[in-house]
Amino acid sequence: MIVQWCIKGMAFNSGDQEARSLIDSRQGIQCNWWRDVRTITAPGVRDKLTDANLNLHVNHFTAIDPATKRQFRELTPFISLTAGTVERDAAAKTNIIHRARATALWFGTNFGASDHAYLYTCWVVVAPRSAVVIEGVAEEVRDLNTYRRYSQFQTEGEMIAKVSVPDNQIRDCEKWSWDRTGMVFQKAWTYPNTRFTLPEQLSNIRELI
Amino acid sequence: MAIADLEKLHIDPDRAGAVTDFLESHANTTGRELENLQEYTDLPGRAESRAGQPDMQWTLTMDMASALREAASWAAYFDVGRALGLLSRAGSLYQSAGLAFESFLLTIAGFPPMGEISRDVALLAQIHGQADAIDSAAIPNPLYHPQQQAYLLLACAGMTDRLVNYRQPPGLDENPDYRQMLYEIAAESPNRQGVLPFGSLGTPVRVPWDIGVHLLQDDNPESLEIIARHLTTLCRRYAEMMSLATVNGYLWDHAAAPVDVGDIEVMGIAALSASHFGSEKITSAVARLGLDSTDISFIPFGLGRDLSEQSSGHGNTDDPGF
Repeated sequence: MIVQWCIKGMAFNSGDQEARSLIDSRQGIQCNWWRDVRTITAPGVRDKLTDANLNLHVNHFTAIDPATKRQFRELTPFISLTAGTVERDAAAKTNIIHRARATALWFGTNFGASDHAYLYTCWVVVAPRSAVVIEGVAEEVRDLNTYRRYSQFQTEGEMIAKVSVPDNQIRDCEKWSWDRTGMVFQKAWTYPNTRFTLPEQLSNIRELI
Repeated sequence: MAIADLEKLHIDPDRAGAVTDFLESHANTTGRELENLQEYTDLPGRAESRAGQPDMQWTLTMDMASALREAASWAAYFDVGRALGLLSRAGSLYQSAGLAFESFLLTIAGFPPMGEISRDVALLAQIHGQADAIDSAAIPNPLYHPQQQAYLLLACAGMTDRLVNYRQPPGLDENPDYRQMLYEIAAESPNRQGVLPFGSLGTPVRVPWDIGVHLLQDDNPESLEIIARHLTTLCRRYAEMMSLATVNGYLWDHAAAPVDVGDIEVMGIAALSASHFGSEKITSAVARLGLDSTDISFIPFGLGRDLSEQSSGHGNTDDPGF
């Protein structure tokens, strides 16, 4: 298993208070499905975590889901996160690296429509191979998206968490402001999560006693 | 015309402007981080932290270069001059990261690094075992990748066009026949059969290599048709990729689809071809092969041709002025 640091970029209508309350509420980052139906069940989770639904999430996010007659995004059990890709060999082949913050800022500024963004830094556990039906591990999106640039070398850093990112895996929330005239971003503040658990807790190294 | 291209792709021009500003802003922010990194490590007592610095410096440099390159590819749709400036900034950063992609970008931006051509030809010769004394330590690691070799070959072909087409700068008058030297290296290279993916379309590297070979063949009457055929295939592949990307309307509409809407490789090859053969000749050649100027497939060719026409006004210099 791999512990992967990720960022979730978000935009809020009501601003700073709503951004901080995501941490204060101790609910973690929930998928749209959970937020829509308010109560989910274990059998419901099993039914939702399928390869077909992951394909809809990655490739047909706003398409009408024939099962629900609603846009898939409204009831997706998945949560998109960005991890970035920074590998020298991949860069020599593609000339590109992707840092997580850039992608998160684009989503968090509502695709350039807002002058600020909220970035949540968190960690997830990723399996070394695809395991869509296993709720506890995130997916590294790779081959589903056939048009993806250079898929054999890099993933553009997209991670997919399932159902929720637990509260104690979220380190903090940062607010970033975009000065579009001056063409620069600046970090406005950081709001830490006091209940955060370091991923080192999962280390498989046993110390001598 | 390029705004019309955005409409063909169903992309809001305001969105294209926003993503360009965003990417340039991100690059500037990363540039500040780079400066601060340097200032931090220059402080007394910080020497011990330098061991881990090259990776962070490389990461920030590549991040800034990547953002500027992507910003340029968007700007090409609505402001060619801005695109050329962004390409030049990106090129300089790729140079400091040791990637030959730098030469490719600077050449298509109209600021070919003419001062490096002698070294670049020597590097390609060394890599292909055609130099008298092989000094492997002098070869930058990224240049062992066939993709970087292909970018360097294309750039060199473009630079030698400049040597032919423009008054040679002082000091270059007595230079050897780079075109012939490059052709001899390229014609014998295993990259002529290379299958590794190149560029955002994942084109087999033998395609750009073959284009480079034919850009260097002044006496082959078939070169124009062969390059036009490659370009037409690339442009049709581009259209297919864009069509697939539009399926995810959410990402596409928000300029977040993981594809290069402005494909720098195809644009660059089109620009080099337009410079070499002339815009009219290469346009007629792709038209004869059925590349329809009203179709999405024509877009990267048209953008590259625009880059070529505007960048040719820069003259024969390797100083982008940034």
